[in-house]
Parts: sequence; C-alpha cells; structure tokens
Amino acid sequence: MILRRVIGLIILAAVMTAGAVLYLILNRKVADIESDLTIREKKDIRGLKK
Amino acid sequence: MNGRMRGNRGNDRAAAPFPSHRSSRLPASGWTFCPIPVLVIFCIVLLLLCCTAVPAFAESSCPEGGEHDYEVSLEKRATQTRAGLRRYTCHKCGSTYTERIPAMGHVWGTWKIVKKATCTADGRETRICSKHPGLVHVQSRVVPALGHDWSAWKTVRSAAPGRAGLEKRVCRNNPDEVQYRQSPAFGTSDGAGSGAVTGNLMISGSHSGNVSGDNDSENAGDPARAGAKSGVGSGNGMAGGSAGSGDSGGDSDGAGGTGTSGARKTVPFGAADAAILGANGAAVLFWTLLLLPLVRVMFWVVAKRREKEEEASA
Repeated sequence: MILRRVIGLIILAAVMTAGAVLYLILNRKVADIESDLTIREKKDIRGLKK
Repeated sequence: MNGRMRGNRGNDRAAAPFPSHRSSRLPASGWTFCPIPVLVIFCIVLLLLCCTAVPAFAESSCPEGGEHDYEVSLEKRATQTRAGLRRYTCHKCGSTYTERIPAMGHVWGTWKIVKKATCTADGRETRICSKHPGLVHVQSRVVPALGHDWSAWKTVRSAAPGRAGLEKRVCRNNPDEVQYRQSPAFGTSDGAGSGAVTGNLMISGSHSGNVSGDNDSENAGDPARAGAKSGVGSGNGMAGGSAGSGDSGGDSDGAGGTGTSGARKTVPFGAADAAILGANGAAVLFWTLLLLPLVRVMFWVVAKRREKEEEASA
C-alpha cells in the first residue's frame, strides 16, 4: 500500500482515539462540576444585585 | 450212377485213389494269386527304408566298439524368432549329426507409446507377445524425460533509456513452457532513479498468454506481474521476479513499488487518498463540535474560581 495512505489512516485513527479520550475526560469533569452546583433562585442568592 | 455208387458208399475216396471219371474243372493257368504276401513284402521294404533314413537307428553301434558316445555342443543359439542347431559328435568314431532346436520365448510386437514423455516427466512404452494369443504377455519400459530444448532468446521489447527490455525463449518440446528475461535499461547514469533493473530478472513456467511488446508501460516489472497473475511462479523460483510481483500485486492504480531497486514513481492523487483525507476532516469536525461546549464550560469554571479567589483575598 502507498505510504501516504498508510499515514493518512494512522492520523485518522489517532484523531478518533484522541477525541474519544478527551470526550470522556471532559465529560467527567463537567459532571463533577455540575454536582457541585446547586440551582437556586435569584432572590435566594446573596449579594446579587437586582 | 446207381450201380457204381452202391459198392463204394463210405469209402469212395479211399477205394478209388485215381478216379477215372472225375468231373473237375482245371484252372486256365497254374498260378494262384494271393494279395497278402505282397502286402507283407511291401511293409518290410518300407520299414527297411525308414530305418536306413535315420542314422541313429541305422548305425546304433559304433565301429570302434560298443555304442556311440556323443558329445553335445551348441552350434547356433535359438532365439525368440529363429531356430537353433545342436550338434552331436561321437568321441570314438567322430560321426556327427545335428538336431534342430525350435525357436523359444516370446514373439514381441513393436513398442507402442502408452504415455508420452514430456520435458519433465518420464513416459512409458509397452509391447505384446503374439506367439500365444491366448496368453497376455506384456513388456513395458520407461522412456526418460526429454528435457527442455530451449530456442534462442527472442526480443519481445527492446531496451530504452529508463526502461528495461524483455526477451523470451520457448521450449521446442513443449511450446507452453516459456522463459522470460529482462535486459537492463541503458542511457542513464543513475540506475535507481531511471528504473533500470539490476541483475537479470528471469521468470519461467507455463504461460499461455502473450506478453505484448507494444504495451508502453513505464514499469519494468510489468511482465513479472503479468506472468505472476497468469500462473507463473512454479518455475525456477527467481527471487527478484517473485518479490516484485508480490510487492505490487495488490495495487490497482499503477505500477508503484516494483520491488526492483531504484524504480521510484509518484503516484497520482486518487479516490482512496481523497477518501482518507475526507475521513480525517470529518473526524476532526465531529470531535470539535462535540468537545467545544465542554471546553467552554471548563474555561468558565476556571474563570469563576479565579474570581472567587480574588473576592476571598480582597
């Protein structure tokens, strides 16, 4: 097989793998952050300027 | 008759030894013809003739005394088609006689080809005995392989600058056996860049198709690949041709990667290249769209934390 096609397929595999890994990491971090957040109404937030 | 006969009843013959009135018929001549003695005499003469005709019985006794003491010697050997001769010689008197020996053995016919010999395989011939038709006597022999009888090398494609030439020769015993060889290209100093073939690439085997000399392919390994695709490869096993055909056998676009040293070529951008490039772009776009909101969230969280720390410090 031609070398440049082999390189192209390797890059494709790397992009897919990296994207999947990043997605999993970021998704977990966002989930952690979301767990720290609480939903409150505006009137309940102290110091919030109306 | 009445008076004379009364006295002589019962003693007719004795009383009258000389009959005077005897009514008897005398033969015309005095000889009596009987065939039995003639036949006996004839048989005796015939027997004597037969006995004298056979020397063994004619002289059963040796003149030197006693019986003959014969020594047997072979004068002519009997073969399958010709009778032989045996000679008997007496030690004492020297008398000799010969005896015929009948032809012996089979009477073979002509050799007939059962399996024709080829360049690489032995053949077989058989012949049948015709002496005894009721019996099946067969003789067979092996005909050795003929071996290849190669003709002179014939140019199929002449060598040119940057392109190797091609020659072929055919076996006279079996026209299906063809050998090809390449002649190196000429006219360039750098053999690797121009596509010249180092060494002598040879392919042999059965090849029913024709290698077109007019095919203006740039690849020097074209005949190698054509030969490999048509079933060549069971011949002498030349490494160069086999490696070249195996290396470029799966390529559908063009020659590329001929396996021979120094034959490099740029491959035009094709559909496969475009597909791979498109897949790469699509993957990057997909992940960008999917991960971008998450990345923005992370940046927002970092900014918020910094603000909180600043407020806390202030």
